[in-house]
Amino acid sequence: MDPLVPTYAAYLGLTVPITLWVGSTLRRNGRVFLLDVFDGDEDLASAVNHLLVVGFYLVNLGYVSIALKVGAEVTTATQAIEALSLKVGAVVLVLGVLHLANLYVLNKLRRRAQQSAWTDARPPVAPDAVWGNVLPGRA
Amino acid sequence: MSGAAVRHVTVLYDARCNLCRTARTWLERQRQVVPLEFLAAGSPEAAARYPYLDPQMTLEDLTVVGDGGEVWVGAKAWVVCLWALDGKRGLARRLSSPALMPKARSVVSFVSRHRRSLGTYGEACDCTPA
Repeated sequence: MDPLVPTYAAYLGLTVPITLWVGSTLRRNGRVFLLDVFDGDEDLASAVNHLLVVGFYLVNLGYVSIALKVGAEVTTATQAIEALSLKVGAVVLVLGVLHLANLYVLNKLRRRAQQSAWTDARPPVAPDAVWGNVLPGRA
Repeated sequence: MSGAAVRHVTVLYDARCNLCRTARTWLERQRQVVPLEFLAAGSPEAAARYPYLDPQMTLEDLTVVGDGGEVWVGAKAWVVCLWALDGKRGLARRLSSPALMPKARSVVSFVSRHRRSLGTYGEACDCTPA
């Protein structure tokens, strides 16, 4: 049998579960962020979370698929392990970058939601006293 | 928090105190989301505009008055000042949390009590308590 076939099998056997694992982590923890962003709206948070996770899976599995082909010649077990390691390493790095980018986006969304919630609002502390009349000069 | 939005705040500060003037200058240089107006505490103008505020009290502690008649004093006044600045609302919100507010209160009251010995005091005094 072509020695590349077990290499490819091992590659897919490693990268697909890692992608699924990162995706499920993202799904579980991203929801908390999104709930905060959307002010506790469960439906909207779940929907956006699902869309983000689907996008994540598409990009990652697409990359895993494209990066499958090994360019170098593989005739020995050592060469197979080396090629495998290089490929898996690249996939894990891409996963890491995507994951951090996702976190960045989630945090940005959260910040923006907080900022806009504060516009036109009142200070976060209750006044010590309030006079009913509008102040002179500000009427 | 309920009630109308605060769109303008007047800051009554002790203009005799160097530290307070430095703080005023710093606040003035920041980008403001809610405009801050500065008024020397105890000045005739302050007395004319806010007759219900005790001039001695406004000289002792930083006092902030909102356009709806709200009055904040001391650490709360500082939180309102920060809240009025662009990019400082996160800080204002954190400071106002139950965990940090007592700390902020003790720091502000410490600085306020010792401001006469922190830096020069009494120079460039353009105000006398009414």
